[in-house]
Amino acid sequence: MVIDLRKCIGCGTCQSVCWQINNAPPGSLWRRVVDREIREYSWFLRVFVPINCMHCSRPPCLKVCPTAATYQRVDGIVGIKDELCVGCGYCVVACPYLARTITFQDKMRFESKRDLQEPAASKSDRIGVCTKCNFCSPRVEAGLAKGLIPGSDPEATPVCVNFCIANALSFGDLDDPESEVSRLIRKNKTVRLQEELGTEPSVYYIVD
Amino acid sequence: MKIELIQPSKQKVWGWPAVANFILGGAGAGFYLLSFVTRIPGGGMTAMFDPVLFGLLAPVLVGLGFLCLTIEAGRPSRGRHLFRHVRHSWMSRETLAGAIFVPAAVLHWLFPNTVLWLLGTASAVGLMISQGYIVYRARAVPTWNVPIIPLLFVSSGFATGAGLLLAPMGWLTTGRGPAVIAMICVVVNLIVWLLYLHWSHDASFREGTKALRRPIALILTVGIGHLLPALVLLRALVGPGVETGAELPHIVAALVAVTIITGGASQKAGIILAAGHYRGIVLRR
Repeated sequence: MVIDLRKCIGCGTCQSVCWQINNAPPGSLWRRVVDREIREYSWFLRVFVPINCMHCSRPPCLKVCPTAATYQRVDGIVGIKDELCVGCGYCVVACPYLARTITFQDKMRFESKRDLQEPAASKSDRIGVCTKCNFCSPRVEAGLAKGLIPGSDPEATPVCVNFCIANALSFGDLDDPESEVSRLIRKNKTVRLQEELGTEPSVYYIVD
Repeated sequence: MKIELIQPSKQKVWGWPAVANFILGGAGAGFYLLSFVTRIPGGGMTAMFDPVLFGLLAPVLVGLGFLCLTIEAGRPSRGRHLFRHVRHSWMSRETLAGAIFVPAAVLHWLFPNTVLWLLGTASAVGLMISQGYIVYRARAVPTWNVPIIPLLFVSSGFATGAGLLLAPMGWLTTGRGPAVIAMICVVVNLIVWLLYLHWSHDASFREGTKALRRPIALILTVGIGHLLPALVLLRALVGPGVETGAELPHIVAALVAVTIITGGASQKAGIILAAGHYRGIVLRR
């Protein structure tokens, strides 16, 4: 995934749509948009930085998981098998991107009231286990099965990318030099978060 | 240019149950290993050191530690899956070591034989090491992700185990073995603890361990937990009365044991609860 910080306006649509479509459990942090104001000479600059699971090439969460509930697909997406997770929290303290959360209570976002979508999120199999962004892997998988291309065809692309109103998010195959994401990385100055930890995150941020 | 996106924050995933597991597991394994050392000829233990309480103390402590984890885990009923990743996960290895240790130690108490003793000893060592590595592999917490942590968990386990060993001194022992062992363990653990507190100049490590360097914390971990028992033991071992073979008075030995156990427990509680801060997330432009 490539996130163009020059385009992101911090509307939070990606965050909301992620919660809605993926039925992310209440209190989970599958996706968040950080809003920061920084001083640059005599003026202030406001930056919005969407953060989700970085789907690292060398994910620290993968090796620590005692039940092997955390797995890495061939295409690099890191997922969790809900039915194997014991909710020990080891992956939570292993992830330097704070991308993993365990929900212990079946409480909804708006106190006791549930919005139209939330009954679907109230699945008991999501309580007491770790959840995180999975790059909408069921959606990507279904799209691939239909012969669609992730990143190009909306049906095979994560919903946050599809719904971004500023077109700041791009998704695709980093191993394909002709993909949109590879082209963006080649042509722009990009950074990755916490690179010094050697996790090799798969989310790139275009800066300046 | 660095932009701090998310500030360091306290981890809340592992609380008292995890701390209890680290304390009880380390103390149990340390006690088990040390109790055999003191049984060698000249080690100072008598046959009286075999009553039920002491034969079963180590496996009971380790078992209780694991039991504590069931309070914290979201889905403890899925515990059988914990052995699935022994090849890579230190938590799987810890579970495996514990699952071997508890029955091996109980069976060895019932039917003493070399195979069970070896199994119990090897799994106790494995348990102590894996607990340290569990904490060390937590990449999100800079105060845990330092290479001295596994050594600290081993030295702390031995120190608390030595404290347990010292507790019955005066009515179950005839020699100075436990006092000598406790002295060595306490001094080594103190050195490792001080090394840990000054391990890195990294800002996140310094900030995270700040709570452990506060005077009140140092009084507890260094003063009461290490220096005080070390001085009492030193006096008992080399001070007046040594020539006559006088031993530590019962009450003093018990108090020293309590201070050592308190020191070891406060170390682990401090590391997990007070120093357990997630590293901040920074964007470097």
